[in-house]
Amino acid sequence: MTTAEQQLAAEIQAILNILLRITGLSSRWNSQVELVYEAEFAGKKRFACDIQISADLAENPLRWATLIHEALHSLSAGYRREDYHQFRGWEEGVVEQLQRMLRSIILNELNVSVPEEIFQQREAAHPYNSYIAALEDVRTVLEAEGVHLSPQEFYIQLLAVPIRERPQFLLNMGYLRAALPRASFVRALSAANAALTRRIL
Amino acid sequence: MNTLEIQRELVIEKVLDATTLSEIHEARQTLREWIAAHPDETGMRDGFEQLSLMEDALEAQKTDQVEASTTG
Repeated sequence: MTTAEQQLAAEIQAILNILLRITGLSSRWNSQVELVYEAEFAGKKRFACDIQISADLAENPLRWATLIHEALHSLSAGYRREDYHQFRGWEEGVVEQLQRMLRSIILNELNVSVPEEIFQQREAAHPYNSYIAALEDVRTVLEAEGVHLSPQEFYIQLLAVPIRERPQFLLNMGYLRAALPRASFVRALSAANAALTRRIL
Repeated sequence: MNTLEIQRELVIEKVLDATTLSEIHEARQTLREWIAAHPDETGMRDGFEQLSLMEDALEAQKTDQVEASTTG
């Protein structure tokens, strides 16, 4: 790796050290970072075990959101190409929402200071916002019916479940609540799954 | 939603819905044009992540199918 790639790899490792402690999950990253010149994407966690980062982000403070996002992909259970194709929203929504929730904790621990406004601008118009909205709809229905999980715990639990099993995992979570109005919960989960898989069953 | 928001949502839907190679290529071009016109929307760039991963998944699937047909 080049010096710049080594620097980014060190940053990702520092992020992962914190995420491993917070989540209790293990990473499938092979410690390799490739800077990609003229990449259209900001970052990409490949189904092989490396991470690609756009070269124009290497020294941009906005990179921290991307590095955390890609590090979270490396912790995600069942991150396989077949399952990503079918359940992509269940992966990108969970990872992006966790990035937003954990970023300030991570940057504080790393003594990295970045104006929050640049991240807010990034999040104001973001393609994964509809995925996050769908997940939040289900989470808030479960919360209203007494499923006692903090938002952070909810998303970390999802991250620990293989991508293709996440819809069933939440269905089971709802059905374990005997007092939960099942019709409204199933409607919410069904609508969310349609948004997350981009399919109407 | 105002007109800009509606137009943005249409771009996002095209990106999120793209599942075939031709859809991915078309969505990529649409996203390129959107970002060129709205460079301050720094988050929209993450749409390329999903498009690229979907493309990788499809191309790997094609390779698997070719290998299966030559060894089968």
